[in-house]
Amino acid sequence: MPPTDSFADELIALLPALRRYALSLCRRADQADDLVQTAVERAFAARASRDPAQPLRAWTFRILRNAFIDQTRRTATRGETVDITDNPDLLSVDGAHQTEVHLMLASARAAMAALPPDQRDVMHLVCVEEMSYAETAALLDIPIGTVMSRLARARSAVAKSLGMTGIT
Amino acid sequence: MTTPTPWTDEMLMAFADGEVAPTEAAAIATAAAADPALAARIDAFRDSRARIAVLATDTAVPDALVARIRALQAADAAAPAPANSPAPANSNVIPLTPRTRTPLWQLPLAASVALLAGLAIGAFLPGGGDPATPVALLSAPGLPEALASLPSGQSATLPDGSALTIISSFETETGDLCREIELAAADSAILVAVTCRTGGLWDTQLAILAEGGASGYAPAASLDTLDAWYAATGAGAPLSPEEEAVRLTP
Repeated sequence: MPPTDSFADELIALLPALRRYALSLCRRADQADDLVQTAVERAFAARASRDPAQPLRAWTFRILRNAFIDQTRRTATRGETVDITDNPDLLSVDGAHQTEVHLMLASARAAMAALPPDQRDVMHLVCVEEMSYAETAALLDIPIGTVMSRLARARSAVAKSLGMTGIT
Repeated sequence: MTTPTPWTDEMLMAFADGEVAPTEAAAIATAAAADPALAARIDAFRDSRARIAVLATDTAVPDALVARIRALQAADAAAPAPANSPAPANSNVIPLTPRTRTPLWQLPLAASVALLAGLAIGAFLPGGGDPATPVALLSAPGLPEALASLPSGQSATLPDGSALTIISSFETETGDLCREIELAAADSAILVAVTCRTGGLWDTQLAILAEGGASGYAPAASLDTLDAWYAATGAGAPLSPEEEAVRLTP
């Protein structure tokens, strides 16, 4: 292995984010892992054509998303989605906040699961991956105004489902 | 008599997300200060983001995916390099992240860490906050005033009995003043927070719940989170006492 090749290391560093995004898109752990693997393979195949100025995260997210779209096009019926199962890694941590953190994650996942896919997508990119509206618009190939209207609807829905006040 | 500006959800959300221009942000902040209902709508957008942002703590990755990347790397190394593989170094490009540390999304989940983004200090959470949580410390009376005047390294006791220590001051990329603080409740909890002043309001960017009140220090994992936040947001270096004094002058 060439010691100067940081591409693989950078990709590995992005795996948690790629897997989160994949889970957000397909909502099944097994499908998400397959999707990440497909994206990783495509990323390796296309690495020579990548503009070095483009951040690796945005580039790989786009590859992953395109792979997801391909996959859903190919599969006429996607089968019933099931809830994302509890993550054993999250349960291995110690401390008094374990249950609380777990509950926070569970309620966040439930709120996301209730959103229409378009809204969940922008919600994930902005609120979980902390992308800007502009980055999100570029990744999804939609106008920034569309990002904002989807996101605002998603946020209101999430606020309602989590029982927050202040939503009109 | 002025006609109230019909703020749309999109505008208020963009404000909550820090995505509006400074002039518009100031207008919204001013309007919100005088209109609790408007402030509540903004808080709901902040809160909905914070409640979903916890999903970023899921950093699980199957070993098989890492192994797959290593295998692809090895296969690449065995094959001849693509013609344009070594991208020409561009000497005009300045590295974007001089502080290369662990990105936020890469951090392992630390059980004692709670990331609570975007809670406005002083005037917020109309019924939405749980007063039993240490985050309520951030709404302690007198906190905004102390933030605006207390130099770094100094402590003050707030009217509710909690102890505030200012750790440092720094500026964001857009020039807003931010302060890293520790808040110790009378009972036990210690909160490490970063709060920035935008449009005259102190806005909590990050709050980390550090357990074990007596020591006054957060567990190492919590401070990793703080470090990652600094790296991710392009925060400037800590201000010198002189620079800070200038920024704290009304």
